[in-house]
Amino acid sequence: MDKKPQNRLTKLLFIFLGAVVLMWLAIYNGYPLVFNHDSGVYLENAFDVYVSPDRPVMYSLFIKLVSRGYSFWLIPIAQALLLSCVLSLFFEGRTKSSAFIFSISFLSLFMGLSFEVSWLMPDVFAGVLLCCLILLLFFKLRWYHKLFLYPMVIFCTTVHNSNSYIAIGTLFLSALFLIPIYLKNRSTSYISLWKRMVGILATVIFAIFLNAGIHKSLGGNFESSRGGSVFLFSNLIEMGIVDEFLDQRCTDHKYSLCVYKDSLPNNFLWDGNSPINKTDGWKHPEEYQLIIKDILLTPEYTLKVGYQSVIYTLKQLINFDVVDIAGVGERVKKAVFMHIPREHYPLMTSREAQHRLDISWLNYFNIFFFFAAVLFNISILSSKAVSQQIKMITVFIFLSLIVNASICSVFSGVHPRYQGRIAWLIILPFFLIFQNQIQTILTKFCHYGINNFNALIKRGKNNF
Amino acid sequence: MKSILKLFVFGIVLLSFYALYNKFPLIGNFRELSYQFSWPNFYLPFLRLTSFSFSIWLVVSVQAMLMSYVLYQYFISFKIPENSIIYLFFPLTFCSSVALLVSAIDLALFHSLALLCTGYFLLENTSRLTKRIFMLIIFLTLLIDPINLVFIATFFTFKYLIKLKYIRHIILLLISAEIVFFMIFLGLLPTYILFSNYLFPVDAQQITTDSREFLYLFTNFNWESRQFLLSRQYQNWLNLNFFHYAIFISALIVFLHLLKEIFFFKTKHTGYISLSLYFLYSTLIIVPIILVLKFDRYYQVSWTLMVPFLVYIYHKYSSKWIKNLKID
Repeated sequence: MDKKPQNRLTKLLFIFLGAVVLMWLAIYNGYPLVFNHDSGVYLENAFDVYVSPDRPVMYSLFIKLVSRGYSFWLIPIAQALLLSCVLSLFFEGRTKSSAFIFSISFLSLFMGLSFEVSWLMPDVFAGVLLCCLILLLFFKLRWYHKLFLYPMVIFCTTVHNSNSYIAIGTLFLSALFLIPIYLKNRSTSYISLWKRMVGILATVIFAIFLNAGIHKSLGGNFESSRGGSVFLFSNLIEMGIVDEFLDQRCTDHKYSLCVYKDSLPNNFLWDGNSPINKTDGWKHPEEYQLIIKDILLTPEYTLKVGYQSVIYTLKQLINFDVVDIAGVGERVKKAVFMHIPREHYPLMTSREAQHRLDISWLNYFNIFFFFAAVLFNISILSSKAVSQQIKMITVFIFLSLIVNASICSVFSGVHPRYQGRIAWLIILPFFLIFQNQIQTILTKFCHYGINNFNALIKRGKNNF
Repeated sequence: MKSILKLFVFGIVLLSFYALYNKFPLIGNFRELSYQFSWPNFYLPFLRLTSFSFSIWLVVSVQAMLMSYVLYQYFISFKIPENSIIYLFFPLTFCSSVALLVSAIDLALFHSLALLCTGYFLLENTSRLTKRIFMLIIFLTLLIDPINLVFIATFFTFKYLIKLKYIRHIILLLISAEIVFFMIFLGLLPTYILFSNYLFPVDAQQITTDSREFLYLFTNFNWESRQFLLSRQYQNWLNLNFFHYAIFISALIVFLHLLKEIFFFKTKHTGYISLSLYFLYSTLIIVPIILVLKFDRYYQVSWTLMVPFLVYIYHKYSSKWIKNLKID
C-alpha cells in the first residue's frame, strides 16, 4: 500500500469515481435495473431467507446484508465498488489513475459493463470472478491484495449456479493450454502458475462446500448448485432431443411425463402450464434425472447432444447483447413494495418501468468493439512485441469466454445475458498494453485543454 | 496445412455469424423478397445432400465452407499471406452482406459464388487445379439456379470489352444511364444503384408457423424446429441496425475509392483494377435485369466489390501498420 496518505486518498477517490461511472445506467434509469422474474425471486428470498430450489441463496443474503432494508440502491453501489476495486488492481503500480478511469469509462459506456453492475442480479460477479482469477494467476500481488481477492473468489463462486463450473472449467483448460506453452518456451514460470492454479482450485472447492453448508443450515439440501438437472432437462427439450426420446420410449417405458409429451412448451421452466408446475418438478426432479441419464447413455442421443452442444456454444459466444430490458415484473413490484415501500414510487417511475429506456446504441458499440478486440487479441497472440504475461492473459480470456458459453448454453440455454456478463473482458488486454499511451494522450489532452482555457480567460479579461 | 484448417474453422464461424446471432439459420431474409416460397428443384437436393437429412446447420456450414474456399483462393492469388487472410474475413463479415448470404437458407449465395468464380478467370498466375475447382463450383451454381448463366454472359462480354479498351467508358455510361433512370422513375438517390444491395434487403422477414418455410423445416428437420421457434427472427427481435450502419459506411468508402482509383488516377494494379471493373460492370448490368424481371435477390452481388478493395487496402497499409505498431 502507498505510504503517503495523499496517494492512498487519491486512489480511494478514483475507485469511488470508477464506481460512479460503472453505475451510470442505474442513475440514468432512476432506479437499479431489474430482471422480470429472477430479480423478484432474489429480493423475496433475501427477506424470507428461503433456499429456493432453482438458485443459490448467497446473492439474496448479499442483498439483505447490503440493503439492510433501507434501500436497494445500496446493491448496485456495492457491486460497482467491488468491481472498481478489482479493476483498479490491474493498473496498480503500473500507471497513473487516469488510464484506469478511462478504461472503466470505456467499459461502462461502450461495452455494456454498466448494465451488469446496475441491475439487481448476480451476473456481474461472473466477470468479477474471472478478473480475480486473472489477477491471482498472472500478477505479482501483495499479501493484502490476496487477502481481498481470495474471499472475493469464494463470494463470487457462491452467488450463481454456473460460477463454480466456469471457474473450474477455465482453470482446467488453462492448465491444459498454458502450461505446455510455458514448457515450449522453456520458462520455469509454469511451476509458479501450477501452484497458483492449485491454490485457486482449492478455494473454489472450499466455496462449493461452504455454499452447500449454508444451504443446509437454512433448511435446504447439502447442495451447492440448485436445480441443475431441471435446467439441463429444459434445455434438452429446446434442443428437440426429449421430443424424439419420449416418442421412442413412451411405448415401453412408463415415464409420468409421457402424458405431457405432445404439449411440452419451449419455455419449460417458466411457462404457467408447464408440466414442471403440474408435477412439482422443481422439488422432485428424480424423473428428469432418469430421462437425462437414459438420453446420455443411448449412443444415438449422445451424438445429438454433443452436436447440439457445439452449435449452442457457438451461438452463445455470439449472443452477448443487452436485450433484457422489458419493464418491471409483478414479482419485483411486490417485493419492493413489501420490503422497502418508499422505493415503490421510484421503481414505478423509472425509465425501465415506463418503457423509456432505449440503449440500442450501446449494443452497436458493444458488438463493434467486441469484434475489434477479438481481432486485436488475435494479432497480439502472433506478435513478438507483446510480453508473454499479456499473451497468457489473452489466452485465458478466450478460454473463459468459451467455457462460459459452453456451460451456460448447454446447461441452461442460449441467452444473451449469460455471455454479456463477461464479454467485456475481451478488451482488457488492449488496456493493459496501451495504458501508458492512454495516459500520455490523456495528459496531453488535459494540458491542451487547460492551456486553451487559460488563454480563453486571458482573452476575456483583456476584452473587459 | 494447419493454418489453412484454422482459416476454414474461423471462416465458417465468422461467415455463419448471422445464423448464430439469430440462433437459427435465416430463412427468407430479404425484405424485398416477396416472392412465393418456391425454391428451384436443385436447391432442395442440395439442402438434403448437405444437411445429411440430419441438421440444417450443416447446410450453413457447407455454404460457409464454399465461400471461405473461394475467398481464400482470391486472397492467395493476390499474394496475401495465409496468416493475414483471417483479418480480412472480419471486415467482410461485418461490413458486407456476404455473412448474411451464407447464414441464410436461400440460393442467393450462389449468385455471388457464380460471379466470384467467373471473376477468378480474369486473374493471372492462378493454378490450374483451382481453376478446375472453380469450374465445378460454377457448374454447381448453374445446377442450383440456371439463371446464373447471366454471369457467364457478363464475363464474356466484359472480356471482349476490356480487349477493346472501352470498358471504362461503358461503365461510366451505365452509371450515368442508371442514375438518370432512378432519378426519373424512382426519385431515389443515385447511390441506390450501387448501394441497394447493401442498404435494403438485409431486414429480416418474420416467418410464421403456418408459412411454407416453417412447414418445410418441420417436415424435414423436425427435431430442430423448436430452435427455430426460439430464434430472434421468429420471435421478431432480430435487430440488424448496426449492420445497416456498418454496411452503409463501408459501401460509401468502397464507392469513393473506386471512383478515385479507377476513373481519376488509373493506377497500374491490373489484376485488382480489372477485377473491380468486372464486379462493377456485372452489378450495373444486373440491376436493370432485376428491375425488368423482378428478381430482387440479384441485388446481393455488389458486396463482391469489397474483395478487391480489401486486397488494395491490405497491400497499401499492412506493412506500414505493423512497422508503426509499438507495443510496450
